[in-house]
Amino acid sequence: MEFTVAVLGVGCYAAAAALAVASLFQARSKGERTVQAFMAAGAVMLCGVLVFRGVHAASIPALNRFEALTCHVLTLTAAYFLLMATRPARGLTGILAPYASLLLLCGLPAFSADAGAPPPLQDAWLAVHITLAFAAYALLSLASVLAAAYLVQDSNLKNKRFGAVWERLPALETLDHLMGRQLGLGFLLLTGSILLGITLVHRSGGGEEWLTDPKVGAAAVTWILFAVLVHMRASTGRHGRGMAVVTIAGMACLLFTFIGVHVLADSVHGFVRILPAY
Amino acid sequence: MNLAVLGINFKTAPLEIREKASFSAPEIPAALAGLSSVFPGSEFVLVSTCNRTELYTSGPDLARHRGELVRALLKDADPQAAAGAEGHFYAKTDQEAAQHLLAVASGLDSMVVGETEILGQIKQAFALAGEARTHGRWLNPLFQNAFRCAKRVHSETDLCRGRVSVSSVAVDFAEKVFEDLSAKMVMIVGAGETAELSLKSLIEKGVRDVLVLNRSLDKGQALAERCGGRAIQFDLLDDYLPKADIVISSTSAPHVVVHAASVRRAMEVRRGRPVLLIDIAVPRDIDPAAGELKDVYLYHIDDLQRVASENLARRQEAVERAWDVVREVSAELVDLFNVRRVGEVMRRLDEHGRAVSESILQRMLVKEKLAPLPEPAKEEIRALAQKIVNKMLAAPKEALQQAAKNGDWEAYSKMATRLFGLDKEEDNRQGPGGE
Repeated sequence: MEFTVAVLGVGCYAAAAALAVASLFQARSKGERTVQAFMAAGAVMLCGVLVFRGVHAASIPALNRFEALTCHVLTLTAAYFLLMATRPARGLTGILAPYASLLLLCGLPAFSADAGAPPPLQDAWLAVHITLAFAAYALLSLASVLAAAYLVQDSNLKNKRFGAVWERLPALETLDHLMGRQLGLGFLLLTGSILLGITLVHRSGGGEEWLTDPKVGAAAVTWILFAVLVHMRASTGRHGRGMAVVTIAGMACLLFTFIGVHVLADSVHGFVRILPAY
Repeated sequence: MNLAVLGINFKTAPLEIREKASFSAPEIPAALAGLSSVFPGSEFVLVSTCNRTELYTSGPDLARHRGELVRALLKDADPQAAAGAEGHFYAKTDQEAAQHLLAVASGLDSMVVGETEILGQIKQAFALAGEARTHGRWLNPLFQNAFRCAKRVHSETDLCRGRVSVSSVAVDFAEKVFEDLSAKMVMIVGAGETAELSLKSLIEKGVRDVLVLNRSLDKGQALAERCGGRAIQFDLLDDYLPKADIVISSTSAPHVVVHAASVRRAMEVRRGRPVLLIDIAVPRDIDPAAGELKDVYLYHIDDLQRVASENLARRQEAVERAWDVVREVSAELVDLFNVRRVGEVMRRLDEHGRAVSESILQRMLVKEKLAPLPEPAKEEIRALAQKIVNKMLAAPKEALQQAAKNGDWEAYSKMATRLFGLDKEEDNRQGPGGE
């Protein structure tokens, strides 16, 4: 039953992705609302699955690949809907929904894998650490979705392609402003999450294994990259295509920290150790 | 109810006539009040724009009152002028009038087919009539359906998609690069006519900061004054280039005026903030190499013309589909009005039945034999009489309802009106100015 609901949820996202891509190529399409409805329905189902699993296992439901990726997609969806509530921007689902669907499809095979954080850290602060990290990932992912939209729109304008995609996507400056906002807030949350992680390790008496953990190293690199990016935008006033490219590079780095690092090495972080597939 | 429209527009009357029948927004309530006093019980909405003045009415019979209404629209101009202008007015009634409004609201009857400004103007006219309390049972649904129809045309067809004049296409480009045009600086290089028109389109969209660079400073100053900008020396182009978000160039110079190197230097200062360059000049003013720079978007006259032509072609293709929507909504509206019209006849039938039974009862109940009856018994008799009337009218009313569904409402309504003598009652109720 639980798995069926999860599959239905992923199915809703996949349907949203197909519809979003199709409607991106239709200037007058009203499909965006349907896409949003599908995404919301999928999010509700997957949220239900995670809550059920969390209550059942009495643990934070973000510790295996399925849970972690689903959590990321859910927070990204929430960040997207919050953005739409404050500053509606058409056409973004054409990029966001396929990205979310892809992540969910990657997570689904690990539905039954079980995991838990190291016992000494299984407390409320760990939950805050994880929540901050997921919120940061969501905002930074949303920034990269906006950056991708920026590059598409830039390409349309440069190559004089004034078709449906050009009409549907927002203005370059709108995308740039929104990207800057998500980056700023996402970076703050990522910093908070990393600081809290360091505090938790210190409190648990851990040392060596955390300092040499590849995920910690990758997170440090990601943080430095986003720090440079935020600095370039805020202090030196850099905008435009270059910033969009760097944002996407930052996101690639973030995805490597989040998932990719586990493919190459073992990590003491949560779900990885019992998921050799990574 | 006689639904009608009486008006003139850019197709039927020259400007000299149209300006005589033009009403500003503050004048409209007084005009509506004047019409209401002459035709009490009638409904009016007056739409007045630079291209048309139209009076939508429900009540006065146009065949009888056309002259009076035309004079009212001409603001009681002298009879000779009014007589000369009357021929320019068109009149449409019933479904034709309804369909006309739907087409006007959808932008199908506009000078630039598909323009959307007219919808706002009609909404304003409707609101003014609402304040003057001159629309109601008939014009209210008519206008609400016109707004619905326009919304459908805008969302279901390409009629309003994109701009169709070369000068205004620049706005389309600007809106896809910048978020808020009111915060942007526009630099005009040269004082060509198309550049000025493009600038005007941008100003209409909120641009406030305008710089004019022209070889002749006097000419530049004249343009700057016309558009509320500043004129500066042509030699200062490179100094001001980094500050300009939109550059429109239209000089008659035989060589490049804005060099790629200048743009590159400007972009270093702008730190990735995009710039839109529009080159309207032939031969070109802006070095094409500038368009290859990052965050620089360069368009020339051919790009503007191509987009304008494509938009125009798309609109023309969309016209037939838009008319389909208009016809569809118009048919729904006719059905709605038919049901209302039959409802009106049924209401009059009920009133007639009540009046007949009440008048007979009043005469009977004062007679010697019935007068001593107690009040409850008299009430019983009244109720009985009403029941008999209702029973007798049930079959004709059902037939009318069926007729409305089958589209035969007009013949049946006339028949019922005639058979029950409702037309005589209506005549008795009409005031001197009414039908």
